[in-house]
Amino acid sequence: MDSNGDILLFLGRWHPLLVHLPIGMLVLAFCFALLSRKKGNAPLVTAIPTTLLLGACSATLASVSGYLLSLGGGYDAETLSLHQWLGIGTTLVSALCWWLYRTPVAKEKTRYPLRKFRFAFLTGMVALLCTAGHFGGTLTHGEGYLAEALPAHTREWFGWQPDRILIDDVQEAAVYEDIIQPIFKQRCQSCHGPKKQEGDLALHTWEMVMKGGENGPVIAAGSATESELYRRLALPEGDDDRMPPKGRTPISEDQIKLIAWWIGIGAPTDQQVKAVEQPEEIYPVLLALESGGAESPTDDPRVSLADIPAANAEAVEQLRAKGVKIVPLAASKNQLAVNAVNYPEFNDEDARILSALGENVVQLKLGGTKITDGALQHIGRLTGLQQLHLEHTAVGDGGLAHLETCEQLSYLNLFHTKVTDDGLRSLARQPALRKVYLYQTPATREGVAALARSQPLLEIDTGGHRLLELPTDTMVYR
Amino acid sequence: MEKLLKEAQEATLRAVTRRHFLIECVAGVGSIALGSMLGGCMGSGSGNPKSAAPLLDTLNPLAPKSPHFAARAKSVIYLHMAGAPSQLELFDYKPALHKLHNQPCPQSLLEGKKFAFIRGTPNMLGPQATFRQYGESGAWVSDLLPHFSTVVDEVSFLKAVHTDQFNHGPAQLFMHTGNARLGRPSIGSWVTYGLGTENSNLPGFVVLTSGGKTPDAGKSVWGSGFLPSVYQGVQCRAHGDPVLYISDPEGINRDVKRKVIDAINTVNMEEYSTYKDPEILARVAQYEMAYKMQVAVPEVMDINNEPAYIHELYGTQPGKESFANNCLLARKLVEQGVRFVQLFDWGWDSHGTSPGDALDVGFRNKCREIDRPMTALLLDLKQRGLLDDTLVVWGGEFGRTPMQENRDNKDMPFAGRDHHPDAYTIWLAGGGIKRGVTWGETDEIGFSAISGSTAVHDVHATMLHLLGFDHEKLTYDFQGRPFRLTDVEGHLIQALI
Repeated sequence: MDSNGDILLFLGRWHPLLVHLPIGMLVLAFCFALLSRKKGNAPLVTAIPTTLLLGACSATLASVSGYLLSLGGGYDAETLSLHQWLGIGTTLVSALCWWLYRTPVAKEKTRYPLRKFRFAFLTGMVALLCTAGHFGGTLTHGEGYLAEALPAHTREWFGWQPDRILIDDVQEAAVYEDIIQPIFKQRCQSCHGPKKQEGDLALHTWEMVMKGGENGPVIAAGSATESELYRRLALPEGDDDRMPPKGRTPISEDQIKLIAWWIGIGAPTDQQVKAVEQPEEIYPVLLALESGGAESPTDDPRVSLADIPAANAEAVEQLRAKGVKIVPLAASKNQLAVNAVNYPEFNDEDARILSALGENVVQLKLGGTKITDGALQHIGRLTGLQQLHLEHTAVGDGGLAHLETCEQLSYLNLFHTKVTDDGLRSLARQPALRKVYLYQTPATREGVAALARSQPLLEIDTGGHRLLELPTDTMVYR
Repeated sequence: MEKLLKEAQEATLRAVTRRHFLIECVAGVGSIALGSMLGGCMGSGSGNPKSAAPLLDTLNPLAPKSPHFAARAKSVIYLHMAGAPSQLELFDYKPALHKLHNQPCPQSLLEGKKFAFIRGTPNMLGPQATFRQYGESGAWVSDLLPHFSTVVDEVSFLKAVHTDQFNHGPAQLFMHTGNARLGRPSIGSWVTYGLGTENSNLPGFVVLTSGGKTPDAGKSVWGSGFLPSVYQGVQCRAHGDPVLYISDPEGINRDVKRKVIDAINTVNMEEYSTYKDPEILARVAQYEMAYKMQVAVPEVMDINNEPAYIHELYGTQPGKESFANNCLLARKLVEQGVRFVQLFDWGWDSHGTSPGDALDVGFRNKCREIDRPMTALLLDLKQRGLLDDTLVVWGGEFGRTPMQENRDNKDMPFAGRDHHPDAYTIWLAGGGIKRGVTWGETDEIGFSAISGSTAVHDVHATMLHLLGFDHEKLTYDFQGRPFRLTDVEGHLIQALI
């Protein structure tokens, strides 16, 4: 940034230093006031007015320097105005507090009725101070600076979501409009936008980006390394030329990669992601836009495992003793996969025991066991169930109706069961169902077609696949 | 029984002499000193305390275990074409190679390259098959795999896999153990070590071979390396007993067998309480498993009871050793909860030295042998609802050159290609991977990758990912450091997951 040595701006730049003086002093005054309310600490009262006076003076200095700094521009207008008026408010209220604490209590009681509330004023002043300070932090470090650093679950608890660029289907998105322009908007346009064009550069339209700044174009389409814009972004931290400059919200590594990729493919204005080349290293970055980058790449997006209470230990032990395999889906999670492969005697009574595991059972393999429709009544209580194997069992239509309570059921294996079209009709009411296997069931083509119509997202496999006899199957080359 | 124990005790007592006592004293004092010197670094050897969580339940090493995160695949069927099939005759269609047929290879391709057999300047060899695009995904498949071309939409292709070995043995080891040298555990061992097995009556890791020979790298490709030997692959045979000595000897019934095993296990556990060697526990577990396998294995390995339409689908002939039979067996094993089924089909080394290894003769016969069975395997897994959590992987240990081989700088009698590690094709299906994706691209003659280059470690990392593992955290401490399948490498193939 070129500065033409403006003395006012120079004084303004002292704001970040000066601003901490009133914070310290005013909070100290508040602490004194708080402590002095206890009898033993009464002498502290005498220190309050002096501390407040110094605090108020430094707050005035901070306000003035802050105003001078704001003249330099480049800040988000709304946050700036909030910070400015809260800061000025703090200064005024701190001066008022000094006035109220200034003289000993005994003499002037009658003349200043406000004195009764002086501690309330002081408390209010500290609250103002904190709020003003917070918006000051937002100005320098960016929106969500604090919230971002919170652990994810705490953040959820507060309902804070960091500001991220999210795209439903990244392959369908437009490279410039949906990916690159939002980055410019988020990270650059407070200084290079419609309101302000540092270095004559504006980045709010594609044409302006291409036009460049006072030193000519900043984009060399096809080559990121020859583009001034990329060069400035990629400079090491601490370099004077690096953008965004020190003190502003930094741009993320992934965002720099996306910009480099966009320049590399020729900085197009209207191409879709799927139409352009996506080198290996950009692929995960693009994918992260879909999930908001919140999930680590090693997490399976299909099965999100919430923290749920542990399963009924007694029922688990009871089933394990019979040879049923019960394993948590993932280490240190309470969702369970239950498999009766080594206990083919599993019957309706065992299903009743199983129902005590409730929402903990996510995958259940009961293929080839002795269960009947009666078992499904109990299985219906496994409300977290996603995958259910009933192949080679005596289960029929009557049982399937009980599964309606398993609203997360997405996989249902009915291979070699007695399920007919009647049973399929009850499947039409399973909202999450995505795969059904009906090989060797009495279900008819019409019944399957009706199910397919009512559940367009459902994949139904009726099996019975054959491979054609080809002449080449028997041809031997010599 | 008691007599046996007493005998063991006496034998131990007789063997311990005064010298032993002295040696043990010295070693004991020394190791106490060493232990205190090393102090902290022993306990926290694996760095990450989470990864150091003992995966090894010594008493029941094959008990099912939870992966790091929820898995998409529960089992793996790995179809390895030993000898390395030519990608240029199957999946990697290179029309430009037609035009260059019989022309000398440009020097730029040969510079700095070393080949297993090619010497001097070979000629280019055009594709020895005709190609078409199939399915909605438009995947290229040659006419040598007519059945397979009907199921390409279930499959995803890696077109630019590369290895760093050009000889069969080391390349097979690399493909299956993540290292070209002997001594590392195979991927099936890592998986059973991490996940155990669901069916406690069957081994967790089964190996089936066809094509008349075992792979060049020998049984180490399914060995357990430094992992406890209980995790090594169990090879099942096509002829006679599927597992050697699985039948009881004449005159011994199952009750007698039970008593024998109980006695042996008691002695072994005595030994274990003295020496704490986990290998003893492995032995105990193996006796138990062998006992249960005596019933379960012949049952699952018997394909005679399969209905006729299944035999027709796979093209199986019971009693023969064939890739088709092994495919059907693989399905049966996975259906029964076996974790990892490894198939090896030998005979894909198409150099062109004889009709048997010629691209236009023997290679075509090999293609015919696998085409129907592997297609049937995918369809059969699908109709049984097994393909959703069974990952099927097909591939060789490397690819083949776009040049005609010229062994000893002489013309070859038949069309053939040399070993080529830089770019070859692997396909994967099921197990929660994306369907119909083609990742990676080779140049116009199929010699080098131009995009989507995939390392063997990347394939391993992705396989482990689908099984629920962070490949960087599935480790085993050996010789003072944690080892993993992908060593210090491996990136997930994002395009597939």
